[in-house]
Amino acid sequence: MGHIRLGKLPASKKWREIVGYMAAGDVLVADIANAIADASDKSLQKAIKDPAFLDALWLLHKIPWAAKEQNFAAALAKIGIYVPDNPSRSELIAGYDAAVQRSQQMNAPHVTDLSEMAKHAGITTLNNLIQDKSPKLWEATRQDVQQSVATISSTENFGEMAQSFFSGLVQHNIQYYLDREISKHVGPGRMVPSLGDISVMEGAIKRHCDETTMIMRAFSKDWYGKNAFHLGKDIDRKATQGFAHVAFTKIRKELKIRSSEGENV
Amino acid sequence: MKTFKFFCGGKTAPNGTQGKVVFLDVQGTNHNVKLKIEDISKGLMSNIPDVILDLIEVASYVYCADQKTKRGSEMLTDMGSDWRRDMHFSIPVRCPDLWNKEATISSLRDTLGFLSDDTYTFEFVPATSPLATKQLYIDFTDHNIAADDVALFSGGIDSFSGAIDALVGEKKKMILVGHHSAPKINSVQKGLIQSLRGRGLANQFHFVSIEVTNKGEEPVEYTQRTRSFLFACLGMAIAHMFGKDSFTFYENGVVSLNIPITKDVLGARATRTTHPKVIRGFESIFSEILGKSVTIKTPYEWMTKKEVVLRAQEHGFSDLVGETNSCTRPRSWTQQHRHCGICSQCIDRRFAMLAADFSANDDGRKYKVDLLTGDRSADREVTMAAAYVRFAQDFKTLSRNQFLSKHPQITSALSSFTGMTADEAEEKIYQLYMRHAEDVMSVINKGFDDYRTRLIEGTLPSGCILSMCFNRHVIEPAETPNIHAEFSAFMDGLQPKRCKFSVDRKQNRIVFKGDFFIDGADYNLVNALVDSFRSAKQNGTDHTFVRTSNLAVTLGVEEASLRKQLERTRKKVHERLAVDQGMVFDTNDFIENKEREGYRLNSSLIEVALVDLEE
Repeated sequence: MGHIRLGKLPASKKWREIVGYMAAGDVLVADIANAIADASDKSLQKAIKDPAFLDALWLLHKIPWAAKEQNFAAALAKIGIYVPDNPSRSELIAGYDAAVQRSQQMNAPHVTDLSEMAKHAGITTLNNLIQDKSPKLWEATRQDVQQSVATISSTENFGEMAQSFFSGLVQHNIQYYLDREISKHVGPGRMVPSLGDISVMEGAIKRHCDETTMIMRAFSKDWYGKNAFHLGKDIDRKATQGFAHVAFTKIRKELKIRSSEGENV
Repeated sequence: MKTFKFFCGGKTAPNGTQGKVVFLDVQGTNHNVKLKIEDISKGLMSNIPDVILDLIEVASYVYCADQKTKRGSEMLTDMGSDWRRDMHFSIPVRCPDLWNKEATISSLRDTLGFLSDDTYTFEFVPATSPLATKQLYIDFTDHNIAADDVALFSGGIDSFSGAIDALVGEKKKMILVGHHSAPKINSVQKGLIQSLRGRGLANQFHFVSIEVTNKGEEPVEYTQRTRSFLFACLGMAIAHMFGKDSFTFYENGVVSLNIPITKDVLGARATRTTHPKVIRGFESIFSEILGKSVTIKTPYEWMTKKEVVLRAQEHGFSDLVGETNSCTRPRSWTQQHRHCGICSQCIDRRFAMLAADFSANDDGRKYKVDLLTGDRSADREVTMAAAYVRFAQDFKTLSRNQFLSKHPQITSALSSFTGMTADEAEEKIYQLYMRHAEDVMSVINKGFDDYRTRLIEGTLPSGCILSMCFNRHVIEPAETPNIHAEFSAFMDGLQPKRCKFSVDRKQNRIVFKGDFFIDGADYNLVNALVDSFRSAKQNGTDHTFVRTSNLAVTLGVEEASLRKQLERTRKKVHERLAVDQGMVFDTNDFIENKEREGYRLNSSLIEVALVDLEE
């Protein structure tokens, strides 16, 4: 037991061209990221409608608001996240994972890999933010965890959360395709000289995605400040969908600008 | 998502049934599911209640249906939506009340859903025609054995070491249950059983061999994600016959948790056969239908494969370890090669064997492709091995704090360990995988020592694992410390932007930064509001609204048309400014509307000369 099924790249012209770049070696990270985003654009546009993807993002923004309530666990239960009283970091993240998993099962006919990627991006974001915002001089208590999460409801921290989420998502989308091919291009004079260099490449892609999504911070902060505070709106799934749509379009544009293709834009 | 409707046990499909219809039957004229349980004692015949026969049939139908219906291609078109299937079953059963309980149905649906990524719907109907008798599936014999425990026996190293641990280490009497769907697998299991008997353990265990396959038809889907459901149901059935409320699954923790080794492997594309959440789900299904608490024991859940291999050595059975087999490609086996050396199980096994220093007991020549020096450059074969090693390399340098962020897939297991908090589970999983990574790296390390000369001479194939680890020459400049934090702070400190525009009267356009402009009816509408906006800005006064009726006359349209035009213009401008400039506009932020007063351009807008727009 323990079988793993690996994927293959699609056989369309755009994907064949990407394999061509990789085979030629010496590829710029910005160019490969843009080429993959371009080739996967159609699939992504369809996948954005995946209801579990929207839930992964919607729940992520709701969690900090629940943390502002005195009874954190009860407030989380209201949005479908079930955790023990005063949840620890791991328990909170496990509750989030289970809630998105339920949404994936309930919305099964429309579920794609994007919701799984979004769940992972959400977990990574929560884990990083809680650790960053928790006390460093002593081991964080359960109360510290709640307080740390509550701080994410500010507009400043929402911008940080949104950037982290979309950076993780974009990076995963790039590697979702790249990982199917990259091992075939290992060796002297090739795209990656050694297996260790695949990790270096992965680091470079992460950095590229972090930089590309930096524009999300100001945009998200504005969007959130206006909707959640200025207008006092309850941000529902429909509003989340609109936000995600604009976010993807902005990121897609930024990826292009940062690539060689963008020099002519 | 493809929809499949399975009508089982002689059920017919109603007229107009949507989706692909498949008929499955374990008996009768349309008999196409082969189910055979060998060597059950006659004395146990009365211990086989109807619900157990139902369980065996349900599991067989689910397993055979899984193999009969194809998932989408490996290209994962439309972000993997075709990987998932919609599976509907209609099954006649002997105990419909037990199967139709909400708790049974939801446990089945949730567990199989998580196990396979498919969606399951069950309709259990009371059997109207005679169902198969127990004699149809089960070969009864005269022997009698009492058992302390029942364990599943696949013929791989984990279940073999488990059997040794129980028989020799704990001196238990065991029932070993083996499932096979191919003769080569059956022969591996039976060979090992013979060897155990030859070592004086014959009176301590009994082997029950079970065959479940699609009869007379080749499978079209090889992923077999529901195989462990079948295996567990068979284990439960046999345990129940022996009066047990529990049975044992021997599987190491690394394979059970099966963290994906590449980013395209999502969900159940890395099998979850013995994932803790699945094991808890199986327990829940069995407890519901049997009306008592059932436990599935997984004693190796905190061991690496190397540690499992060493269990056999501890009890003096190292020499038999080489007879075990986990290869998923039995069709590729020859007299000389018993392991393909390419599939994930072969790679995992061989790393464990070498890490445990078992090369004398696990003959490397029996692997078609050698783990460290075999050429894997033939297209796909390289990916699995390269990803496996890279995963270990990365994990070795992973800090405890980064663990969940780097491997978020592990989260689904955290709440599924009995008697352990999520925090404790996270810590133990991290330690388990760190030991696994160390095992893998120790094999690479030793490989460098063993093949140093050939590496220096460059005579190893470029597509072998050792060569792929050895070519490093990229120098990556280190990231400036804090650059991310400084950049983030700069972005966070930016003030909200104000929208600038210009009126291009030559081309009748309203132009914005970037390459965005509006023209035609959109231009006419904005242009009609510009004069009052401009004069108010020049005079420093609050500018007036243009009445709807006056604006409609100016533009030569009906008021209703004007309102529709306004919506179109706002939508166009709001969407583009959000994307191009990151400006979030509400309804009135570009063209403002006040009830009973009319329309005006929002006073926060800034009009600039056309040439100044790009500054």
